[in-house]
Amino acid sequence: MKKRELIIFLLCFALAYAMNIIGIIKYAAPARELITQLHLVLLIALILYGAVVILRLLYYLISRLWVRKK
Amino acid sequence: METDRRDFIKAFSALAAAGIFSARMPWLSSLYAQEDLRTVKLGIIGVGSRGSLLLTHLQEVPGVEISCFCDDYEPNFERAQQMIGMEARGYRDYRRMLDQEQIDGVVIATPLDRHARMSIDALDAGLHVFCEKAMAKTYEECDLMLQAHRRNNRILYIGHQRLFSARTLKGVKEIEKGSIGDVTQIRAYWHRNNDWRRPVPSPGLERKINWRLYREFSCGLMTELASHHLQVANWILKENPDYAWGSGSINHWKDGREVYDNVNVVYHYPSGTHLVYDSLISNKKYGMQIEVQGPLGTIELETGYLFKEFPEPAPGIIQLLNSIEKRVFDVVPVGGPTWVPEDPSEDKGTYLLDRIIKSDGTDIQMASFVSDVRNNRVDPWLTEQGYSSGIATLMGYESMWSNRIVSWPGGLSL
Repeated sequence: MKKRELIIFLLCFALAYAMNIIGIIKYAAPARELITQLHLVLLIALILYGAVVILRLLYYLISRLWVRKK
Repeated sequence: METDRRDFIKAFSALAAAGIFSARMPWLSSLYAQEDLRTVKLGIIGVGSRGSLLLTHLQEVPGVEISCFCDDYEPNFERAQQMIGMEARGYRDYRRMLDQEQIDGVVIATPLDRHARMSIDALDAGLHVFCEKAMAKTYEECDLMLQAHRRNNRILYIGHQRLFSARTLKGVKEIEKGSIGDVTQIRAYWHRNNDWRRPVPSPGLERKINWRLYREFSCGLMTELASHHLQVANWILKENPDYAWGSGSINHWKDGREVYDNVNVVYHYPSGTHLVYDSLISNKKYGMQIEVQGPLGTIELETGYLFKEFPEPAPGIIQLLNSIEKRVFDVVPVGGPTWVPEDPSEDKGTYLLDRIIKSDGTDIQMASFVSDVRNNRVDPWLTEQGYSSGIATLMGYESMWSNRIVSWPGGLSL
């Protein structure tokens, strides 16, 4: 369980970091932002992870309702 | 009083922290010079509202003895006696005070029309002088004051405290560093919303107490307010205006006053730069400000902010998120406008100091005056700042009253 959550969070972090790289390339921002914007990357990763948690909860609740109706 | 002292120390340390003490600003050198604390004996002439404030600041400066004072208005006289103490000798006639007292210098905070006479008498008596702004009421008086300062080789400070304000000093330093590029325009304004009157106990005292409102004693908003901003403009541009044109009127406070309640003057400098100045006392939405503008930015000296024309772009990731947000939420325009309004630049500004400073520089200026008196350090540049501001102030005043363009008067001592 813990391992799965960690993997999901790491995927969110990787996605946020990819956004940082795309932003730097697209807007010709200085390369040091790979490190200096880590706080923003972490924040975005947390937001993404939170969104994933909400989606999973919704999926869980809907699927339980579905099972009961059957 | 304790708060004043703390503010003074904060303001003083802010000057040091901002790296303001430098060879380029030599008039501050006395403040940080090593010195013995020989007691400086001063007298004060005119202890009204401004004089009392100066007195309060002087009492905060170490090594100062206010040994005498002079005021010909009884309530001021009594208040001064209370503030200084019974050991201080009070005079109604400043000449007697100059004759009888053994002092190092005097602080003059009287109505404008008396500045020249009192300052020249004090300088000729061998005293150092701090005189409130504006320098004097006529070109000739300004000239005579400058000559008296030179003839006697005595200090003559004019009360332009922005020369000692951390915000202004730091702002000027940024301008000299090139943060806004070449200065292309200075806009300055001073807006209030009150009648500029003091309460008068009896009608016979109206002109004595509300002297600022009568042309016999004052040049109104120009000498009482604009002179500060003119001093800063001359200082920044390192030149004096070659001509000025202006217009003013009494359009709101029609209460028998003789000076304008709104003034609007444009000063032209030899470099081609203009100072656009206005002052009014019927609306205070914009308060007061000196906006120094250049192609790379604007510095607001009264508040100490730098606004860049081309601010640093946001980090790449923020720009990316903004563009995603715009694509998702923005309405797609069908056709574009043929004309776009000139929106102001969006930079929110950077505060130039590392801490908030309340002091406007008056406290530091008084400390500097005391220190210069103690060291007998005469700074002609400081006096010339007061002089050129005084002359420029009178040019604007003359232009408004004569309805013509007024040039820098020839044949003066600068």
